[in-house]
Amino acid sequence: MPVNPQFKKGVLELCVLVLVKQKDQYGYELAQNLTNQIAIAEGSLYPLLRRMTKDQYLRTYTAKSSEGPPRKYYQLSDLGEKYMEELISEWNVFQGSVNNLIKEATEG
Amino acid sequence: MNQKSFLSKMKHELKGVPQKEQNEILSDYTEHFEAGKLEGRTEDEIAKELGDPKIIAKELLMTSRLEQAEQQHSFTNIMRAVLATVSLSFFNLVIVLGPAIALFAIYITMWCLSASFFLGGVALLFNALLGNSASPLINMFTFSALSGLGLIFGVGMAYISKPLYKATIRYMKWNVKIAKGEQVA
Repeated sequence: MPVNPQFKKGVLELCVLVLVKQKDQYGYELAQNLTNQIAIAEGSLYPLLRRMTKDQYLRTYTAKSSEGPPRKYYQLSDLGEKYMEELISEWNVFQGSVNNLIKEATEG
Repeated sequence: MNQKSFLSKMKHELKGVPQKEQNEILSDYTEHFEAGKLEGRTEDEIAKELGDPKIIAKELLMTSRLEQAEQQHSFTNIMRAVLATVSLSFFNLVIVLGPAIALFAIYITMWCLSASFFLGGVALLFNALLGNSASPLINMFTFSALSGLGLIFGVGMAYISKPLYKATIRYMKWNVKIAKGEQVA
């Protein structure tokens, strides 16, 4: 389903935080897990990851992979976890309000 | 587009980014290509999924410019950051460049105003000292009032400069985060 890009941009950060909390992931892996659910241009994930790392929500480390060269893994920091919780509760309030609004409007 | 041309297009657009950061960015994308190829994807497919390297590079350049402006306060740095933000999209042209120009104009005007108050006062003082004035006392009084006003204005301006600079950066950061979205599609 096509979704307004402006809309996606805002929640992309939240999606990354949630995915990385589940387990540490490398860029390509993260891109695949995201695009399984939401259609994005994968290339724009990296600028986001850089910003989130600079803001200290994510940490990076390099680890060997069983196949191919070593990879850069992203890990959730304590600060990132706090931020994620804030974003989740904001998201819940927001989507609850929108749902109410739609319900009221469509039920007349 | 294959890996090589994707990376070279990106590199071309990243000229304004410090060398170290440039290398980090290019190695992230190289890693992405390598991982994709191990999963059996072709370079063409991977490049297509990544999107337009020029647009991605612009966003990276903007983030880098903002950071430079944040770390080292200077007029050149903030102008570069504004320009990098504006070049991202038409939307930003309206929502960033407009306010930036207005703010800058107001800022300059205020400084000129404070300088002219002060200089006007000084001119009056000279006038009085040289005995060109019919009423030196009134002249002296006006001098104090005018230059006092000029000084207070000037101090006020100096006081708000830094917060103003920071607020500009914050606004642009927020703008990157939410407002623009043409490349995420």
